[in-house]
Amino acid sequence: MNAIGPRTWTIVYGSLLAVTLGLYFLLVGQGHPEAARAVSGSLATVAWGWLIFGVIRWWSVPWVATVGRLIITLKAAGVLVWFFNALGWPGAQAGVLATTLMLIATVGGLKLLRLALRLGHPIIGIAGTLIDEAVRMKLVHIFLGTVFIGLPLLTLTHGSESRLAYSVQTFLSWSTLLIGMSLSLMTILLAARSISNEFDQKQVFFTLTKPVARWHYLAGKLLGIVLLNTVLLVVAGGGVYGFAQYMRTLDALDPLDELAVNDQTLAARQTVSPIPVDETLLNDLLARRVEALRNENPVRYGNPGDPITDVSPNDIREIQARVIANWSAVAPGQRKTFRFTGLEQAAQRNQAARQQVEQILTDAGFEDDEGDTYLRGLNRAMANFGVVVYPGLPLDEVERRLTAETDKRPLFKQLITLNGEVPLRTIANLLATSYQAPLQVRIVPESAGRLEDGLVRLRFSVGPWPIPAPPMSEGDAHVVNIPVYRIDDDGNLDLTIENSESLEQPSITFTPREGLLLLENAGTFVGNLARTLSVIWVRLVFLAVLGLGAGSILSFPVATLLALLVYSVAAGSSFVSESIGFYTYFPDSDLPYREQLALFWERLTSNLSEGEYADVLKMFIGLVAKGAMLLIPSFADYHPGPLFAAGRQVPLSMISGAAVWLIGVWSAVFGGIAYLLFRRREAARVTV
Amino acid sequence: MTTTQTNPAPTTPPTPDAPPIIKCVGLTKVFKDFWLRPRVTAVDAIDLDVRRGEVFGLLGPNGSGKSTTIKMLLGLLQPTAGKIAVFSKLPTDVATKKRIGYLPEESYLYKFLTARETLEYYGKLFHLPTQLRKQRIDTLLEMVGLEHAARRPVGEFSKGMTRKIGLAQALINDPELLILDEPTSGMDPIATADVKRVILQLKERGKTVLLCSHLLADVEDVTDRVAIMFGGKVRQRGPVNDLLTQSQQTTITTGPLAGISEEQLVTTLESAGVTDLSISHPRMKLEQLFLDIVAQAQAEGVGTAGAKSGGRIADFLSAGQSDPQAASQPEADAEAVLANLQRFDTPDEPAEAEGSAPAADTDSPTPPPPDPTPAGDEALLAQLTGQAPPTSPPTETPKPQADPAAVPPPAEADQGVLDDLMGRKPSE
Repeated sequence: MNAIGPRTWTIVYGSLLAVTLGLYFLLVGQGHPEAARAVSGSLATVAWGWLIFGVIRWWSVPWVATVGRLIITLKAAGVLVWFFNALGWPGAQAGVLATTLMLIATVGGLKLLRLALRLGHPIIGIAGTLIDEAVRMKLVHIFLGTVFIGLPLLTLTHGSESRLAYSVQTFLSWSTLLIGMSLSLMTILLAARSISNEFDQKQVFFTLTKPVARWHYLAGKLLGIVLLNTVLLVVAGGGVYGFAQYMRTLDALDPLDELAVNDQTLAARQTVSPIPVDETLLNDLLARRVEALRNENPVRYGNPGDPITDVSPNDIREIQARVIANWSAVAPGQRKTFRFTGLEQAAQRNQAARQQVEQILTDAGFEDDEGDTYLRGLNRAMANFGVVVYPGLPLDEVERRLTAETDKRPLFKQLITLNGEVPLRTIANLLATSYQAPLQVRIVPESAGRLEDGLVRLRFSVGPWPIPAPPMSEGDAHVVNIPVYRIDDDGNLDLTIENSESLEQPSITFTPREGLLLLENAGTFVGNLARTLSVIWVRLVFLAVLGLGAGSILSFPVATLLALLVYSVAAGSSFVSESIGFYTYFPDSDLPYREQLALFWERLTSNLSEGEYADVLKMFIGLVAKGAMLLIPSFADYHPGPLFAAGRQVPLSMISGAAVWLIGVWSAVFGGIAYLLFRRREAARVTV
Repeated sequence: MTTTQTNPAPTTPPTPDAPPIIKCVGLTKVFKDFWLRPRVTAVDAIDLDVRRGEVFGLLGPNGSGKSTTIKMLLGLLQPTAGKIAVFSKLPTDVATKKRIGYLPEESYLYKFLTARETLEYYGKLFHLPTQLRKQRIDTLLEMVGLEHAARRPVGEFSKGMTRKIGLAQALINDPELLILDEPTSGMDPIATADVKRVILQLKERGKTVLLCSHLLADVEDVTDRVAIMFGGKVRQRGPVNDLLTQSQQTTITTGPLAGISEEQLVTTLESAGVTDLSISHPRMKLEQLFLDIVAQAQAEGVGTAGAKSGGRIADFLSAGQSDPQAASQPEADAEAVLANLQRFDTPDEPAEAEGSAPAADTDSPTPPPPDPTPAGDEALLAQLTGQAPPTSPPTETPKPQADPAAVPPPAEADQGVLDDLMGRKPSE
C-alpha cells in the first residue's frame, strides 16, 4: 500500500465514480433499471469505502484533511437534518443546513484569502499572519459561534399566532445588531491584541529587523483585519439572506401579512417627503410668518419689509420647521392635498409591466367585450398568470373561492371583484400592479386634541379614486397602500387627506419628515442587505484602525479598554450627549456653538450668584464631557439596522458619509497620530 | 552534521584593512524612567567596527550591554548618543535590512504557525517570490534538521528546535551580515556543534557574522576577533589568538612515550634548562565524547522526536552578496563607508522609506578617497561624532590598531581580564 499516494487515491476514487455513473446510465439505457440500481449501489459503496480509507490513511496531508473535514461536516449535517425531519422540525432542519453552508463558506473564504495572500510582500505577509492568528487563537470562533447559534435561534421567535412580518422584522433587526456587535468586539480585541502582544512577546524583534517599514507593519495588520471582516461579513450576510428566505416560506397570518413580508419587510423602499401642490405656497407661508414675527420682535427678526435673508440661518430653519408643521396639519372639515414627486421610475416600471400584460391579454384573445364574452376572455387571460379561474361562476362566487385560496395575492382578488366590464387598460394596470409592490404612504397621525377612542379616522383619495384605510391609532406608524398606476405622467402622486367634519375630531398633524412619507420600492432586499453590511464594514474599518492605533502604543488591556470606551461612546453618542445635557443642564446641542456658549455663561453666572455650586460643578463636568465627545466620532448617523429591518432602503449617502467621515477623517486622524507615535517607538524599549 | 559542501565558495580571510560593515562611534544608551531621569547606562560610549568577512564576537556577562548594542545596530533601540553605520547607512534604513539576518537571544516566534509557515512569513517580509521562497524553505528545513517537523506548530517545539527555526529565518534572505545573539542558548551539544559549523561555513562563504554570547567556548571556536564588554564599556578587544596566547608557556604534544619514561623526559628537559615543567596526558573534551556517542547511536538507527542533526549548509547561501544592487567590490565599500562617514549626519527622525538614504557608492560620482590610516580614520570619526579627535585613548579601552599584529597585547593580562569578567578560574 506504500506505493499508493494521495494522488493515486484520488484518481482511483474519481475512476470509481465515473464507472459507477457510466454503468448506471448504460444499464438504464438498455432497460435494466433494477440492475442499474444494484450495480451502481454496490460500486458507490465501494467508492465510499475507498474515500474513507484514503482520508484516514493520508489525514496528515493538508488537503486530504480538508476533504475529510468537509465529509465529516456534511455527514454530521445530514444526520441532524434526518433527525429533525423525523421529529417534524422544519425550522431546525433549515437552521442546520444554513449553519453548515455558512461554516463551509467561512472555511472556503479563509482558504481563498490565504491563497490570495501568497505574494512575497511584507504587507501581504503580515496580513496573512494576522488572519492565521485570528483563526488559530480562536478569536474568529467567538464570532462564528455567536452567528451560527444566534441566527437560527432568532428565526424561532416566530409563533403561529404572531404576524410573520413582525417576526421577520425582529429577525432582521436583531441579526444585524448581533453581527455588528460581535464583529465589532472581535475587531477591537484582535486589533488591540495583535500589535501590543507582539511587542510584549517580542515577535517584533524579528519582523522589524526585516525590510519592513513601520507603515508596512501597520498597513499589513489593517489589511488582515479588513479582509477577515469582509469574509465574515459576507458569510454572515449570506446567513441573514438564507434565514430571511426561509422565514418567507413560513405561514403568514393572512394574505396581507404575506404581502407585508414580501413587499414591505424583505424589500428596499426609499422615502419621499410631500410638498404642496402649489410649490410657492411654503415660501409664501414662510414670508408671511417672518413678517408676523418682525412685527412682534423687530430686534431679533429685523424690520418688516427687510429682505428675508437678513434673518439668521438658525432662525430661518426654526421658522421653516414650524411653517411645514402647520402646513402638514389637517384641520376639521379640511381636505389637503400632498404631492409626492420624483416617482418617474416607478411610473415607468409600471408602464412597462402594463404594456407587457396588455400584450399577453391581447394574445390570449381578451377584448373589451361585454357580458359573458368579457368574463370568458378574462378567464382565459388570467390563466396566463397562474390564477385559478372559474368559468361560468358569478363574480361573488369567484371572489369567495379565491379568498379561500390563501396563496393568491389580494390584488387578484381585487381584480376579480371588479364590477362589470372593465377596460383593457385597467385590467392590465391591475395585473401589472399585482406583479409589483404598491406605493406605501407611511403615516404617524398626531391629534391636536383628545380623541375619544384614541383612533384617528381620515379619508384618503388620489384624484376621484378613494383609497381604503382603516382607523389608525394615534402616534403609531401606519401604512396606506396605493396602486402604482395612480402616479401621473409627470411622476407625481397627489394624495388628498380629508379630516371630515362629520367625524368631529380635532386637527390632525403629521411630524415633518417622519410623520408623512411615501415609501417606494427602489431596490432589492439583497441590495439593501449589501448596503447595510457595507455600513457595518466601514464602521469595522474605523474600529480596526482605532484598535491597531491603541495597540501600537499601549499595552493590551489599556488599548482594549480605550478602544471599547471609544466604541461604546461612538455607538451611543446621541444617548450620551442627551444624558450629559440632562445631567449638567448643558445647552441644547442643536444650537449654534456661539449660542451654546452664551447660554452656558448665562447659566453659570446665574448659578454662581445664587450659590448653586453643585450645579456649577455639574456644568464644568458637562463641559469636559462635551469636549471629550468632540474627540470621538458618532455612529448615530451610520446606523442602518432599523432602516434595513423596516424594509427601507439604506441610502447610499449613509455609506458614502460613513466612508468619508469614519475612514477619510476619523480613521485618518487616529491612524495618523498612532503612526507618528509608533514610528518613534523603540521596539526593544525596556519598560518598567 | 554532514558538512560536505557541494558548492564551495572561496574563503575571504578578514584583513585588518577590510572595510567595516558595522561602525559605531561613542555609542551610548541610557535608559530613563517615566520622568526622563537616567536610570541605567546600558552602553557607555563604545567604539566598534566589524569588518567584511570576519566572525566578530561580542562577549560579556549578563547585563554587560551586548544585546542593547545589537538592538541599536538593528534599529530596535535608538542611541542616546553616538553614531552607528551599518552598510554605511543608518540602522533604521529599511532597504539595508535586506542584507542582514538576525537571530535574537530567544526565538520569539508565532506559536500558532507551523515551522514552514513561519519561514513562509519571514520569506514574504523579504519580498521573496513564491517559488524561490519554497525552495529556500525546503533547503533550510533540511539544513537545520526540522523537515520532519515542518507542519508542526512552533508552539509545540522544544527550545532547541525553536532556536533552529530562528536560525533558519535569519538565513532565508541569504544575508551578507548575520547577527546572532546567544545562538546556542538552549541547544544541546549536537545542535551547538551544528551551529558552530554553520557559522564557520558561512564565514568560508564570505559572510560577516557578529556573534554575541557569554558561552566562551563556543565563541572561542569560531570567532576571528572579539570585544569584551562589562558595565556597558568595551574592556578589551582584538584577535582571539592574540588575546588568548600565553607566550610565557609552551606545550609539547607527542604520541605515546615509547622507550622513554616520564622521569627520563623530565630529567632530560631540566638538564636542558627548562623550568616549571609538568607532564600530563591530554583529555578528550566532554563535548567531543558526547558527540561521538550520539553519532554512534544515529549510525545504529536510534530515532528521536526532537530535532535531528542538520544536513549540509543551504546552497543558496551564496559566497557573494544577495542583493545585486548592494554587491560591490570591497574597495568600493570602503570608500562608501568613509565617504558616508564624512558627510554623516544623523537626522532627527529615523529613515524608514526604502532608498531614503542612497548608498554613497552608487550615488556619489566622485567619492572622497579612503584614508586607510588610523589617523585618517580618527579624523573621519571625529567628523562623524561632531567632536574633536581625542588627544589620548581612554585609559581602560585601548584604541583599535590598524594592524593588531604590530602591537601584540599583553597575553597574561588579557587572559586575566577574561577570567575575571567571566568568573572563570585562571587556567592552570
